[in-house]
Amino acid sequence: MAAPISRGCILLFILINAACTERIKDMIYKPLEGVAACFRRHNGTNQFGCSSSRSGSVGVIHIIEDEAELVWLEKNGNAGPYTAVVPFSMFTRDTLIRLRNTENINGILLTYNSSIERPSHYSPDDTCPNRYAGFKQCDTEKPWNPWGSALLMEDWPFPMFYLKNQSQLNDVKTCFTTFNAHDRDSQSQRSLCALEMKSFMFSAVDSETCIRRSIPRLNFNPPLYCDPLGDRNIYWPLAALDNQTESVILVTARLDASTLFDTLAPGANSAITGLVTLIATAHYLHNMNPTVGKTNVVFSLFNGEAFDYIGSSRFVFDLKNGSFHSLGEKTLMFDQIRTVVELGQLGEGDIYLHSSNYENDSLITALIPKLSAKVLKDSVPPASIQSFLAESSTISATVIASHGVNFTNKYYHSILDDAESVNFTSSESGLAKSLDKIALELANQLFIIVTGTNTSSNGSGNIENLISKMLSCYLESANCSLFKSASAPGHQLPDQVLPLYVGVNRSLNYVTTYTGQLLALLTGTTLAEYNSSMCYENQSLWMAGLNFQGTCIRSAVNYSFATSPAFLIDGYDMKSGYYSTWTESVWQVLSMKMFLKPSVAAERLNVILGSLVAIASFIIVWFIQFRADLLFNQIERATSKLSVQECTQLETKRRLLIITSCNEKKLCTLA
Amino acid sequence: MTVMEFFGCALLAFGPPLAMFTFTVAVEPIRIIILIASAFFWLIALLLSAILWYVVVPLQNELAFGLVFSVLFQEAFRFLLYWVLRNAERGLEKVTTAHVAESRHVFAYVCGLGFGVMSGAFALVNVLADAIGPGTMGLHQGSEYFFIVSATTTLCFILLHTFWGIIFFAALDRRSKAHLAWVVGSHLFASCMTLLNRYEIYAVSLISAYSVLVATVVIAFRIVGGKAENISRCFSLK
Repeated sequence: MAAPISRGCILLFILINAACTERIKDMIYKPLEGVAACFRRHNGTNQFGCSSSRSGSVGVIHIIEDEAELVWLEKNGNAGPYTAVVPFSMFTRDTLIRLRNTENINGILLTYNSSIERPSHYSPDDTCPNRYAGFKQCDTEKPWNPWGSALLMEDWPFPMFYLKNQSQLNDVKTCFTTFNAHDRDSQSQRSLCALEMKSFMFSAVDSETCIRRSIPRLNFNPPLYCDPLGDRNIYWPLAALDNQTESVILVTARLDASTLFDTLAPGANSAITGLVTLIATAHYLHNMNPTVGKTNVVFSLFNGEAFDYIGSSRFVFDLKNGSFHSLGEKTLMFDQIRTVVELGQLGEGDIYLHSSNYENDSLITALIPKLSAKVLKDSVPPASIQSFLAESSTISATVIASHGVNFTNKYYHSILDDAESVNFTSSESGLAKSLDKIALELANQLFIIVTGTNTSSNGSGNIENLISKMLSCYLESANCSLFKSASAPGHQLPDQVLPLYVGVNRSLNYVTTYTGQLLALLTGTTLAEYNSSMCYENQSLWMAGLNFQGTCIRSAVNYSFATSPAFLIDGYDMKSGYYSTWTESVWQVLSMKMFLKPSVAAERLNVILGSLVAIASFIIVWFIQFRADLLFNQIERATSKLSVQECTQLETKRRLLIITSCNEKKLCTLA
Repeated sequence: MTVMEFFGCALLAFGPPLAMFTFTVAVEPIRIIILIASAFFWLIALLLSAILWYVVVPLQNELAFGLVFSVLFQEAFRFLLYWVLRNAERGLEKVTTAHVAESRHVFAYVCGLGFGVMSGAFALVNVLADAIGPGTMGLHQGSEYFFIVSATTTLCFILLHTFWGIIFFAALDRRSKAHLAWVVGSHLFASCMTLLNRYEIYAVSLISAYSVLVATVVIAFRIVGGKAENISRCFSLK
């Protein structure tokens, strides 16, 4: 860049206390990294979530840590619009509604100070999750999720961001105390510390509208406004389906969770406990090496269940249409499913079986005493079995969960539903022990039913340690030994807790891939004699293996699309509410920066000064130009008043003398 | 800086040059051509100083070095422009109805304005372009008057260039070494005073630059034949 040389003053402005490369805007703005933003989703009838204005929403920072600050903002906030910085204790529906009603809010920044104890409960989901979908309506008097604040089910007129980074949090607080906190009533007269949130969402209204807008009609290359939610389901059949197979027991769990914020969906209790127990059960059953007869077992992990059961409803839809081909050559039909066992939110403590039509089902009835579980007859929690029961209300189905009529999870579908909420640490194995027990009992019963014998566990060993490792992979960091073993050698794993949010169907989730490969590793056959190229030729998986040297695994793990049938059926009525119609808006940036916002008075002064100088200069220059002759020429007052006659005389004289003077000439023309 | 501040600063810095252009330059095509030619000469001076700065690696972080040589290059190119214009005078006479040789001050003024406008653009456009947005200076460092000071300094240098142009050309015509020395000296002085901006003593650099401007305007006014009494006469004649 040549700028550094141009001229002293330029440089100096650019280079105040700064290196050559620093630009003016680096001195004005402080970007806040590592933030997560609330974004917009649609279903068939509404829009949910948040969006900033197109150019970004700017608000003066105001930290609200108690009721008094909130009241001040409602009554005296005169330098708005504001951005409210709130801790979890104040991030309640009540506070947000009050802030919205002030119409003086341009954003909410949720902060989490890890040194302060977490809130007693926080769940942004509905009290009745997936209220309008599935088979059985939730009882609004005794809802499943009594701590639900339904923040997810609201269309907020301002953006919301989440900030956890402590040093940046301190920067925000320092900025607030330095510039905003003092002399509050005269805030509007000075520059104030402000935040700009950019999270503009392209889509609006509802799924139908935004999809229609993306269809090319007049414009050959229309912009994309929203995408259907979706990813992949994972399946593992105990044995390949063949003509001998009469019935199938389906063991399912969900693979996804959701939260209010992008890239954060730990779903520890909501999803991970069930998911890990399912993999452990599959591993047990695989190790027992049963001979499969007329009854087969299919393990399935459904995706997008948090959004009106996308994965399971698609599975049922495919079964009904005979278009489900993910289990080998044989097509599985819906009527072949005799029992659905779902692993729900599990943990330490009592176990409940939320069962329907179980009286004649050998598996469920056998499980009750083995798990010493309480049975809740005809209770259907918001889980995948809703999709199966909706298709056939006579199917035997049960959800194994650690909750009764209310969730015990106080952080359902929230960013706090993490390792801490399920009391998991790598050294503490209480949770792993409980999950191990459930997995072992379930595997034993499946073994008995599949083989028809009566022998239970043949001592396949204790896998509590393995469960603990799995939990660590999902709850602490994906950069863990098990995921490493289940990936290609040398594969770089992200060092973070993988978000379980289902995402849009255009992009594949990491968590689905890693889970599928982990399931393959733990249930596949090792082909020891194959090297990597032979492995690929045989359509097997080449992964690092437990010794990280590279192993060839042959596995029956397979995937199918988990996109709602609503987007497949031509002319599907998006408002019918039968299938999930969730879509996610497209956005360009999610970012936040902090800066000083000048007062309105200072801005006005600036414009007025500039305009005055400009107008004055026009008048002055015009005047000087008009009087240029007088100003710059030494002409006596007398000559400047030459009459026409005198001028003619001068002209004659000039002709005579052939001497011209510029001044005289001009004067004559003037005269 | 906000949109309002953007327009405030832009008007402050470029309002007066725009007025001068509208009333004094735009009226004659040849003047516009010369304005653009002189702006081009300033750009070449900038290019050369940039090359010098780029080549002399060890002094890249020394602002004063780049600054002094930049000023010298600009003055050298002012001389070059004078030389070119004087040689081109006869040719210009043929393509225009204006009497080039008879209105030398006018062309000196136009050349100066060309230099000023281009240097002003380079001084401020970077600042303005980088700064459209909701924020103003002062979060980390710097004063909230930064933008208005930038605009005021830019205006000062645009005007200074204009009057330096008049003095410089006249001085070469009359072989007046004192005036030449004033132009180069005051240019160096005013530019070097802006070095103080890094310590945020804006008042010092602004006052010194505007003092130089006043002195330069007085000298230029006298050179083109102005007298103090003419000013009062202008008004009384109304």
